[in-house]
Amino acid sequence: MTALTESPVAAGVTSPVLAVRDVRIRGLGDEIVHGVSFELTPGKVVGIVGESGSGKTLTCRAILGILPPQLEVSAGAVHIGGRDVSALSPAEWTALRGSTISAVFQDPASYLNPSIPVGAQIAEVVRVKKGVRRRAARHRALELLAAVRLREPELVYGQYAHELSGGMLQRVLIATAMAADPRVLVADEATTALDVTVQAEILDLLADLRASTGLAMVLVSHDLAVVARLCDEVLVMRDGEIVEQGPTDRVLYEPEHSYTRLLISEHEQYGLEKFLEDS
Amino acid sequence: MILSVTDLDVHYGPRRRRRQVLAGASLAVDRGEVVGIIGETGSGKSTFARAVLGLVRPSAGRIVIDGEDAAGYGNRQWRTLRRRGVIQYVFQDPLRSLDPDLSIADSLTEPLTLRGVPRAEAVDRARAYLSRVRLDEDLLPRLPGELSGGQRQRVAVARALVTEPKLVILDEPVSALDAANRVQILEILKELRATGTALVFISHDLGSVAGIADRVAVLYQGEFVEAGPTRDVVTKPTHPYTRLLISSAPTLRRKVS
Repeated sequence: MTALTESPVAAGVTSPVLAVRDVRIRGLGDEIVHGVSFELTPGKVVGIVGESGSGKTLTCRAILGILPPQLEVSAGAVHIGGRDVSALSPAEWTALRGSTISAVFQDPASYLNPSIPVGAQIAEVVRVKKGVRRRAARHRALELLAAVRLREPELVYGQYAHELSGGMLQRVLIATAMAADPRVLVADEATTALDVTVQAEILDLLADLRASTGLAMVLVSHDLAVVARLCDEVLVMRDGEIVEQGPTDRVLYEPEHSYTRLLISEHEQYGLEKFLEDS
Repeated sequence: MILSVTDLDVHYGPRRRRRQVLAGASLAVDRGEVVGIIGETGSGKSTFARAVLGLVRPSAGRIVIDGEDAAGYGNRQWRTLRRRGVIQYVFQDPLRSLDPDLSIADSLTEPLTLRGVPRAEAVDRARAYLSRVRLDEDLLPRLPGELSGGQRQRVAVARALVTEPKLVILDEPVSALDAANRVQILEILKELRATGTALVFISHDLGSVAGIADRVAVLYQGEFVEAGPTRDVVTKPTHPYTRLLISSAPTLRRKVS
């Protein structure tokens, strides 16, 4: 299942901000990811569903150019903003990351310096990426903290990572990821460690960012329902293989692969669905 | 009634930094009933489980287990209860409910031999329970560390069941598992209903409990704010926090636009 499913928009009007074409990843002699393809146009959200070991995180890392040292993209291509990333020098990658493509991961605390207030860390990113003066960077950081709906941006600006809850930290990381106005955001299990109510808030926030800025997203989760909430297109991965790919509604309502059916039946048999159905 | 907890208070920390984790939590579990406890981070759900197992001491309230008031229990009695009593438990991380140095066979037979069951009979029963959780008896001589996460959690369930307890407390038993293993554990737990074992199934996610619990109780800031038959709580929640939980639960039916 490596066929490119092109949305009507991608076909003509808008050029893709991210194009992943039959990407294969090898490590230590074995192929680990056996061909992933999808395209993102502005405002489009693609979901990757799979369990640990399915290759979804490696796919993200390949897109971001941060594969672990022993691993490499052995075939296929990633185009970001029309450029083939395989030809990029480290300096060009650094310029691209943050300003064109950005990412948030599962454990926000580990991406922040514990001994520097979180606001200063965002301001630093703004200063470096946007080339603005300190005062303007601070102002922008405060705007970003407000944009991710942290209630008291001024207060949070001066706080340290350990003083914030998991949900607040993830908002800080999203603010940091948005600091240089990227066109694509990769969110790899970004809500997995959060409480269900906080997860819903973060997903709403991502939906807002897409609506207000045209941000395109790759949303990765082990939970099909989390992905279904936001995505236009879903890729279901298992053991490095895309077992199913298509528009979200088609995958949810007419799943073709037995593994997708298992993920759906788990929700239907053991989740809230059966109560909500007839209410 | 197999378990009755009334007005339970639990505090943590030394005097000046004393923090109340449970504040007047009350819950009753009937024989053979499956009760879900839903609570998010800091709600006190794991503390509740630990209090019922005697792993933390409440500062007030009453715990009655199978008709016996636990107020007078000393450490020794609690330990006896946990080892071979009417209550058994399964935690999220199976390595916490299994001794890493005991083979699967020993983990399963120890609670029986402690009760005076002859070794040969204990081994037979261990085999029977292993097959009930759909594991091969080849695993008997292995150590927990040599098993996959899903297999390990099934062993933890088998260990909890082997003494035929009247109540099993499961704290996030499927949260760390992948879909296939999750479904398998939930199916095993569903089958248990037929045996008359009561279950208390604790989770942060209402969605993962709804399909198996007869009744759910919502724990919020140390208090049960709502309890009732699962269908009623899901379709007609009365407490604002329960409503928030239900609208937040990811389901395949509603898409945020």
